[in-house]
Amino acid sequence: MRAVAWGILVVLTVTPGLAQADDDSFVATVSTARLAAPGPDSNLVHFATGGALSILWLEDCGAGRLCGALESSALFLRGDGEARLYDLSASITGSFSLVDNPVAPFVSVGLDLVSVRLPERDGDLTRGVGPGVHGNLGLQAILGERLFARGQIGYLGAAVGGVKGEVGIGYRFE
Amino acid sequence: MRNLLLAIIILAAGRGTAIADPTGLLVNGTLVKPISGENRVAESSGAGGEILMLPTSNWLVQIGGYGVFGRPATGALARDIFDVHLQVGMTPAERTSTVAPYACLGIDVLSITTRDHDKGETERGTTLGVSAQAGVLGRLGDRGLVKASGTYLGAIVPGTGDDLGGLVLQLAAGMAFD
Repeated sequence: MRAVAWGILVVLTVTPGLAQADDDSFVATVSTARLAAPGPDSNLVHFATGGALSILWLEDCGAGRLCGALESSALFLRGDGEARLYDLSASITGSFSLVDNPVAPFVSVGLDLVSVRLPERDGDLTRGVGPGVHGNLGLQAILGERLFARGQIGYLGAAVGGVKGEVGIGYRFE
Repeated sequence: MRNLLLAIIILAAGRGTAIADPTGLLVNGTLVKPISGENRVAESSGAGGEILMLPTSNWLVQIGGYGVFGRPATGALARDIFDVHLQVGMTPAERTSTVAPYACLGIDVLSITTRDHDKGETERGTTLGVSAQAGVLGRLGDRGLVKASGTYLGAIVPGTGDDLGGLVLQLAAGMAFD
């Protein structure tokens, strides 16, 4: 339990809350998410669907530069039957500038803390809390002054290893 | 757990080092060939992404990750590997060079699933690994960036206790930001 508390503390500490530059912006997003994992024949099959809430800190970044971002995200996935996956993550992102691109590609990687309940093939249930990793490739855009939109696909390796897709919208705070 | 916390802090600190310096954003195709468990463990393939930073003319920092899925084969284990890494290295070439060899070392956080199709068993877990990478970095035009690399990834596989001992081959392409 102490390990979980430390994990949450560190995840929250490295997130956008530490950003201090005046021109940087924060984005709060809500997403739908879907996770597919290897099935009995090793082909990817649907594992769970759900949603995520995220907070991003976007570096104020000029045209033609690689822009940094930090993100913390809470993911809630519900699968068929007993399968559940709850994931708190922290990510670092590198993105094309949104100043010179209406839609900017990005790459992000990060660490996860998951709580999972997982039905096994033999009918048993695996339950537990543990660390993990993730990575995403995606596109993000600022629509107008405040609206933020993002689509991403990537891997999630945290108890369940699979491919995750996410589509979300957000609101930008300056 | 203490190691995981350290890894998070390193990743967080890494962001501040060089975003304003020359950087690159790359996506890659990845193939993991087991060396220690050859013939007993199948190859794994997938994709990943990387943020490349060049804080000085000779040093480079890479933050990235990849996800690879094991190919099912009779009599062989399929191993899915999900990786996030931080690597620091050096290149002897000047920043204006078109082609630059480099080498780097790093720490990897790995989530590994080992699937035994014959027995219907699955082992999962997260661990830390160490990687040593050598490769070639090339510029294409003003902003194009390509990279070919080979990495030795050392870790103990959670659940099975096997030596991961894998050769990670990657081809990457992306954009450079000066």
